[in-house]
Amino acid sequence: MITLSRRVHFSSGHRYYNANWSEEKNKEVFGSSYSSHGHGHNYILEAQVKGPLDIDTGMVINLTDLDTILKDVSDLLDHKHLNDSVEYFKNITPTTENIAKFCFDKINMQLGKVSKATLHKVRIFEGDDLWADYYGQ
Amino acid sequence: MANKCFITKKYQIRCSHLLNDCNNPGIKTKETSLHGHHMDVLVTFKGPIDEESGLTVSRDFADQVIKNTILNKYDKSCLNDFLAIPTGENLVAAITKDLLSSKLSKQLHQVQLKETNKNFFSGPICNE
Repeated sequence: MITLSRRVHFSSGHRYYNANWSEEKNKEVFGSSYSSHGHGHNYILEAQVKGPLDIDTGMVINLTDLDTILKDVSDLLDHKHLNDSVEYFKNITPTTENIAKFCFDKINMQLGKVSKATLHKVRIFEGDDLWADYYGQ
Repeated sequence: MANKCFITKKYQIRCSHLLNDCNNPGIKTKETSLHGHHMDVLVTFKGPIDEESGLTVSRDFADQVIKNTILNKYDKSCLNDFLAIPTGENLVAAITKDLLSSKLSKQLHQVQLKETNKNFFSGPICNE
């Protein structure tokens, strides 16, 4: 079994905020991550797939196929305000964790259609000092 | 555990150490004088994604505990003051032990340490 990791970049705005809470509770829970209008990041989505090595191609997955999936998924988030413009995050706070889960579920849905490789992990870098790893359910 | 996620935060400590003062013939090192490193400390937490906040661990709480437990202790220090043999291995083990006694003990997954561009240490997996 071989694993392959591939990255794609996207830039998004987000706000750590739960609309069911008061402003005070939001400030208390999210602390320095709270802001009234939100803020932005240059995110990195890193997908790690694993699978058998194809003896004809020498590949776990054709990178063209993987790049197409990663672009489709990152385009859902790129240059958007996640809380306001992405339906999934209307009632789910777009934390690093939830973005990792969102991307994992989206990539996982498409991967099986093009490859025998499976999705092992999605890592979302919110910055160079904070990242989330999600391995699926 | 449903929706389990791992969050890693990176911190930095600047430490000096001296290895050849240990009187240990098993230690072969070119590091014959006191010197320092600007190290990255990677702390990984694990747990479910909280449904209301979307967080596995509070960022500010993690920063506060790490600052009080690790940074205030090791940053700008000489590791020989804390460790009989101040190797990267022993440092990552010591930081792990310190955090397992802290308010983040139950959520701690692993501590890793980048001493230089050539040396990287991973501590034990915690709370398996």
